Formats: sequence, C-alpha cells, structure tokens
Amino acid sequence: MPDGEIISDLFYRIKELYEEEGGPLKEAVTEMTWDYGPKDVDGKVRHLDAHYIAREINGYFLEDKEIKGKLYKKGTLVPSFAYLQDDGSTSSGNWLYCNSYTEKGNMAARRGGKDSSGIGLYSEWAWCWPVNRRIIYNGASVDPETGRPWDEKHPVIFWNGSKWVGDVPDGVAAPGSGRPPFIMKSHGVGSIFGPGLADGPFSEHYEPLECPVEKNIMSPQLVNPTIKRWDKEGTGTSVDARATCDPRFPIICSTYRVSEHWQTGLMTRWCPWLAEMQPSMFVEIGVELAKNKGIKNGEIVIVKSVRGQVDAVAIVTNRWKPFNINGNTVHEVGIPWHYGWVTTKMREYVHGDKKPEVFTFGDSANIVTPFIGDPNTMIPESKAFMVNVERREV
Amino acid sequence: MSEKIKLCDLSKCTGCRGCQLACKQWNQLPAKQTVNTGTYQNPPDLQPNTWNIIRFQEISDGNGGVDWLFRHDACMHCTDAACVKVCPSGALHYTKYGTVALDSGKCIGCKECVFACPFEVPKYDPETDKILKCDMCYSRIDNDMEPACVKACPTGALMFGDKTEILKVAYERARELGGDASVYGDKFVDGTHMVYVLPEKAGIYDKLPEKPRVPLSVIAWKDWLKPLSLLAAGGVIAGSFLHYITHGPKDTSGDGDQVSKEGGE
Repeated sequence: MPDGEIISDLFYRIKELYEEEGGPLKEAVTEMTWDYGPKDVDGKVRHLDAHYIAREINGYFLEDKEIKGKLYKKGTLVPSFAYLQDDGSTSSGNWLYCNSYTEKGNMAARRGGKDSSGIGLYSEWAWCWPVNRRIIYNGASVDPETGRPWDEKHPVIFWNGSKWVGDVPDGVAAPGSGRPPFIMKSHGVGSIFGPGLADGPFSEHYEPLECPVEKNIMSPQLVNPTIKRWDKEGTGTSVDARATCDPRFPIICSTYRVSEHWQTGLMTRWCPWLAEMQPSMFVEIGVELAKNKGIKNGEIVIVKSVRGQVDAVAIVTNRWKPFNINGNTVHEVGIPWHYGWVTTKMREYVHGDKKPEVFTFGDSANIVTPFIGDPNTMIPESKAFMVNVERREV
Repeated sequence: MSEKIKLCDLSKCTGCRGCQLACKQWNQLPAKQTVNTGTYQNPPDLQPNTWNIIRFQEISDGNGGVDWLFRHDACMHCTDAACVKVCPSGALHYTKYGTVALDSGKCIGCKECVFACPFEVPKYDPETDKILKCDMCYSRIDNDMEPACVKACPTGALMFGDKTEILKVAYERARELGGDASVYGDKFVDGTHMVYVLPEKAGIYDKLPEKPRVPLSVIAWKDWLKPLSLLAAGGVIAGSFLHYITHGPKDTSGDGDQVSKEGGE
C-alpha cells in the first residue's frame, strides 16, 4: 500500500475514534478538510490522488480577490507566493512550493528541453523552489553596484540596463540599491559561523556519548555539553539506553555507506544491478579481532549494542586495525546502514506487491545506533558507539 | 581503420564499480541473485550476464600497512586471440578496430573458447546454450562513442582511443608512477586491446597471468592441422561439384508427392 493510502486510512480511523470517544481539541481532527481524491457516496476519499495534494500544497484562492488590478476567482490556484494574502483569502500548504502547480498545470511535470541560460539551467524542465529559481542567492554572482556578472562567460543573471535577465533573480533590486545578496541571513552576507549556532567555531575533541574511555585524555570535558539529546531521564525505552565503558560492549562500531546504496536503500535496493553488487548487511572486522573471536570470513555473526542487535556477514579484513588508546587495545568494527526488511525474502508479500528481482538480506544499522544529535545540525552520532560481535549459536 | 584500445590505469581506480553497472545497463544484462561471501566483489566472477567486474584484493606491505587493490577485469581483446582461433562457427571474430566481437546468432555453444582463453573470459550460458563476453561495446565504438565502462568511469582510470596514442599515455603514466609500475598487455598475444597500467608487480594480481599465451594445443590444431583439414574439406566440395556436373541435381519431387498422398488418406 502506498504511503499516502496508509496516511489516509489512518486519518479515517483516528477521526472515527475522536467522533466516538471525543478528546481535547477533537475538532482539529473531526473537522479537518480531507478531499485529496475522488470520493465515495459516504464522503470518504476512495483513493488518494497525488495531484489533489500537490494543488493543495501550492494553494488556492478561497474567495474572489483582486490583486494588482486582476481578479482571481475563488478556487483558482495561486500563481506564486507573492500573491498569498494575510487576510484569509488564500491558502498554501507551504509558501516555498507556491508556483509549483498553477492554472498552467503541474510545473514539476514539465519537460521543456530548451536552455536559454547557456549554462545548463534548463528552466523549463520540471520546477524547483522557490518560484523556479535554479540557483538560490544568485545575487551573489554579480557586482552589486553594476549588476555585471563576476564570471561574464557564465552569467547566472545580469542587468541589461532595465531589468534582470537569466535565472529568477534572488535578493537583488536594481544594481546600486544596496540590497545584500543573502536575503535569508540576518546580516545579508554568507558566513562560516554566525548567530544561532549552538557549537563552534573552534574545533575541540570530545568523546562520543557512548565511548570506551572514562576520561577524555585531551581535555577535562568528556562529551560535548551542547549535543542535542531527545531522551529524558525517567522516560524513554531501550532505544535510549547508553553503554559507556560497559564490559558487555567493548568494541567501537562505526557506520558508513557503500557506493551502491543510498541511505536505507529504499530506492537503490529495488535496482537489481545495485542489489546484486551489495546484497546484504555486513560487518568489517579486523584480522586480530576475528582471530580472538574465532570468526571466519563470510560467516554470519551478531553485532549487538545495548539498544538492539543485527545479523551481518563477517568481512574479515586487514584494513581494520585495533586502536591503542592510552595503552589499551581497543578494536573497531564497521557496518553499512542500507538494509532492512523492505526488499528481503523474509518479508510477507501479499497479492499485487512488487517483488524485487534481486533480494537483499539483513537488518538496518539503525537498530544498534544511538540517537544523539549534533548541536548545530542534529545529525545523529552514528559514527561512533559501542557494540559487541558474537558468533551465532548454531 | 586504426586499432582502438582501452587503457585501464589501476592507480586511478577507486573501486566504485560504475564500469560494472554501466556495462550491464548498455548491454541489458540481467542481475542475478547473489549473497555476500565476505568480500565486496560481487558477482564473484565474470558470468554470462556480467562482462566486467572489479576484483577486490588486499595485499600486505609487510610493515602492518595494507593496500586494497581494485582491478577492472574484462575481455583483453587479443590480437592473436585463442578464442577466435578455436571458434568453429565464426561467431567470435576480429573487428576493424582490432577488438574481438561475438556474433551470438552463429555461436553453437561448443565451449572451445572457454577452455582456450588464457584470461578465462568467455562464459557459457546453459540457458541459451551460448557463449557471452565483452565485445568492447562494438555498437558504441562503431558510432564514435567510447565503451560504456569508459564513459561511466568518474576518475579517468579507463580511457579509450587510438592504439598508438593510448599506449603512449600508458607508458608515460607507468614512468610517472615509478617503482613496480608497468604496462601490461602490449607485449604478448601480439598485443591486447585492453591494456593495464599496473602500479604493483603483475604477478601480484589475482587471476592475471604473468605471461599469458595461447595454449600450445590450440596452436597445434588450428595453425598446423586446420589448413590440412581445409584442404580435405575443399576436396569434398570439389568432388560434390563434379558429381553435380556429371549426374545433375537430385530429383526429390516424386518423394514429395508420396508424402502428401499419405496425408490425405
């Protein structure tokens, strides 16, 4: 079942529950507009139509409205975000996407092959936010006083004496008017470090939240005090558990990608040629550690953290060497994070389900990784955490 | 028509396997179910549906250091090709570029080439009873395009062009690399049309013979005895022709009538 259908089905079930049992602010659900497809006689959407949703994200005029001397009838799609009103007469799911689906049709489905820019912008091919601007902050590509492109051979935009030509201009009024190019930054200029960042700008060594040492031997601060944590003391589940200096999990684990797959492989594992080259979850283990554990190349082993465990094919390799940390030998293993049930043979396929031509095997690395965010970007700290590797009981 | 060769500079290969996939895409070769056997190398070897692979190999430098070697393995397109020599049906043949192409329609599945090839390149497909291998993307090179693997290579490890020009590049690169680096391919079987720049000694690489040669048995049968057999075959044809001249064509019309009568009864 496609994601949209699942959401739609969930919506109707939750709505029913609210109607039967009530609850705080129940109207937020029971009175919600849900008309994203052709409806049955009972008023329910029979099947979801992505075009209805795309139009809603773009936005409609909710009543007749005159803007800049032109009348827009109720129900007309809003041409672009400059036309969105603050008086309740227009709607938009996301202003960035206003202009993506207009009365001219689905802009994202355009296939115009012309490139009038000469630098490969192909502005009539599909659409991009905002307002089909292909290169954001393109005002930075011209001299702010004269409007002449810094690279005259490859102009993104240029001032022809009376208007801007090229890409949809960003952050530029007429040349010389003093408007800075980076309109979304508080100072209007690009910056490496600036207001609003929790951590930086100087580098410092901290240990990961889950680590094999009790002391940071390079500074008195063990872990970064500004990291983003979602777990709260006294709440949470086993996925929030941590195991620093825990003898049950003495091995450092890192995660990474392979060239053949992207993220959890939801797209790439359906491609038979890619699945064939990297068909399963593996764990790379140094020769010394494999010897200690009695693990042979190619056998399936268990990689276990305090949060969960995954099966993985052991790749025993000379490329992984143990660390010497303050006189102690600490081993490291590595796992890719691309796998999981969606194209595996074990998954239950019902009638009509698409089956992959080449199956992939194994679990997602997310089962063992911790949930800690980088202070600035909130990117999870999945590069360093603690595990154990065990032979599977036969 | 000048000879074309593919250069494979292993010092520039990152093992991304873009070449392996691009080959399958251009030639529409299906993927088959695989399992991880404890290596990145997959499929494990060249197959009827896999005409080039990256071989992954770890070597130790003896000081605790390790080198991870990636080798693009595909047909070498020999000038004195054992496969063409043994092919009885003419399916394997030389092209005007000096490469070795394959006319599948003519292949009778005899597997002679599988045993003759010093690089173990041609693979037999029991499902279709045919041999399959890299044809250096003849459909592309005959239209002034480089082979699909070369097109896909993001680092410039694969290059394609006129033989003299590419060999010059190869020797310059080997000199630049120094140490054990060498050019592999132009000195045996009258020169291959895939040539390597090997950063390590040739003998180190898995499945890459140091001194490849056409098997002696192939030479004995095909170079010395085949001319004799042709002479004999020519005799048979000449005899038949003589028979035709003296006796005229065989009359089969009577037999045909008989069959249709039987069918009607």
